[in-house]
Amino acid sequence: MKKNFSRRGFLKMAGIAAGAAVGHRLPGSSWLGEAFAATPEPTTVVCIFLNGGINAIFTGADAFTNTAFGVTGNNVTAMGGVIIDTTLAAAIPTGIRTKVASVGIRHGTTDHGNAETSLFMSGTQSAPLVLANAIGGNGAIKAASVGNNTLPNGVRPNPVSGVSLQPITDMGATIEAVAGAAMAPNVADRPTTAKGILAAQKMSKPTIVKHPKSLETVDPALTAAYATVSKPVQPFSAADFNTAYGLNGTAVNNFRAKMAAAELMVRSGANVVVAQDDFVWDTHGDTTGNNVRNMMTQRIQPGLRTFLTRMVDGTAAMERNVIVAILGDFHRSLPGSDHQGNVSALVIGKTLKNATTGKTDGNVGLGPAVPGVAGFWQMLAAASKVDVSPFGANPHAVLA
Amino acid sequence: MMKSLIAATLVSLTVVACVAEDGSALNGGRGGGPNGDGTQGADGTQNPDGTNPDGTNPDGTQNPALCQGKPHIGFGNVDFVADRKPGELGENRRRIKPYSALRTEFQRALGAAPAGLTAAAASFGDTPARWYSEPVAGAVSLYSMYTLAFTTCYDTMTQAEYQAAPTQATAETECSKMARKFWQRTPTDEERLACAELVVTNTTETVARRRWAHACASLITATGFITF
Repeated sequence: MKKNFSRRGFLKMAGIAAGAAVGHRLPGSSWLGEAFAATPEPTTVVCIFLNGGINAIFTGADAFTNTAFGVTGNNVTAMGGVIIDTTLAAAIPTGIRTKVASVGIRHGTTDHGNAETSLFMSGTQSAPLVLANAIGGNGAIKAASVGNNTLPNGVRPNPVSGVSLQPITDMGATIEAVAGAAMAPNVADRPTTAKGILAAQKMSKPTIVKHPKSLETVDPALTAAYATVSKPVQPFSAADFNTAYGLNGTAVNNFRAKMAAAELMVRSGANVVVAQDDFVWDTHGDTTGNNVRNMMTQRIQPGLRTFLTRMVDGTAAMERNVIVAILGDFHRSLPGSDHQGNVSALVIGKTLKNATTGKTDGNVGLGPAVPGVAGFWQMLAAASKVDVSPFGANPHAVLA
Repeated sequence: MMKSLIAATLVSLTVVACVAEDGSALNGGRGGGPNGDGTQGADGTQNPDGTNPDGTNPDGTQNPALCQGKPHIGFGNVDFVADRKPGELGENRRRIKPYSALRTEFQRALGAAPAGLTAAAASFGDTPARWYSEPVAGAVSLYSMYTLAFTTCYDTMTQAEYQAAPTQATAETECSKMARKFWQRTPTDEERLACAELVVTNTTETVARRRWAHACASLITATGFITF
């Protein structure tokens, strides 16, 4: 008989019995009942999704040296066994280049809608929400989509065990929600605002019950709003983010802003953050790879480099475990840079081993033994150090 | 000729009288019928589930499960619509108001739009020009809604009744009045009491006007206002 004893259970018991705050995840007065953490330190998985596809030169460029996509010995960077195009490598600080892995995903899908949807599903549940729930902790917003209201392909996932996907479309309002606003006679105070939101939730229930489909986002949003204003305030400054990421405002409407918002959510305790770039990565005909190299340099690299420097590299690694996964609908196929029925993700984080299960062959194929979508998410769960296996056994143990 | 005129006038008056009995049609109230929010029971005209007191459907709309539709037989003699499942009445009807509607809605409800509404646009989601995006509720957008509403409520609550500390009776009365105006329907007992409980019991706020402003903001953040 399997003994029902886990780190989660142990911490829960220890927290209750000792009456002590076990580490940083138990701040404030509302920790009772939240005194469990499935991960040993603050953990966030940041999933960067390139809508349209991702060229395999960003996950295993050496498969194409002098044969395809303009790959030569001079435009790639080796990070141990993982060799990727230099335009993406330039976003990865030197100190964490030994913490980069490439993960293969054989999803067998070549149409955008199905690929985008299936990559974020675990059976009938939303994979990011399953992972966010497994990571645990007491963040008010456990899963966030920065700059978008939905997951790829417009999917609005149902909550998983109370964990819902919350859209973050404005840094200023989000900072105010977690940091509080300056007091004034006509500014709402946090304690009564929390009660007021609860009252609004109570008053909304009958309508939500009658229109559960069209109003499915309301109740989880009110729950998360209540949780956010019930937490102790955390000091954040929009100006700091603007300076670090080169932003002019607080709207999350470009990739640099999405990375800034991702940092805000990491620091405010989110477990999973999804940042999508626009549908500009469906690069048919880009046989030289120049189009995707230019987009990687101009769109992705600046914000990603800042994020990795501040959240993954150096002292940040001592404070938290942040894992960044970069993927798209599928790889671009040969010869025309069209739709390949598989994809690999580049994954960066301190718990990753410098290895690959995602290097394709010269025709962008992955071997028959390469696992599917569930394997990818379980690898992320393993890298997160969760004490459960919500997606099954980890087929990428060589990576995390 | 005269007889015809008198008869036509009588018929017209009868029609007007019938319409006048339908309160919702005159005062802008919503909630009737299967597609409304179904809370007119407090007025005594309908049950909370939107049905008539005798249990019948007020506009005769039938349960969609009764409407089977036509089979569409395709290749292999398979009816490819056979697995379509009918939804429940109204389950996908009510929508979240888009940001573009909020200015006039605040104006209607409170007499003024929040000064910070434009600056808060991004928190409600940015829809590119010439595109439509179904609005969704999020923790941040609802937080913004509450705080914007609180400030506007406080600024506009200059009347004498909002300078006095609320009692259970005044709280229920004012909550009812505000809900009726904001939501364009009469609140149920449960809704009215939730609002009154907030303003009387659930806050330690010492400034009466701020208490009332919280009640007002809470009503604005509820589905009665943020959806239509």
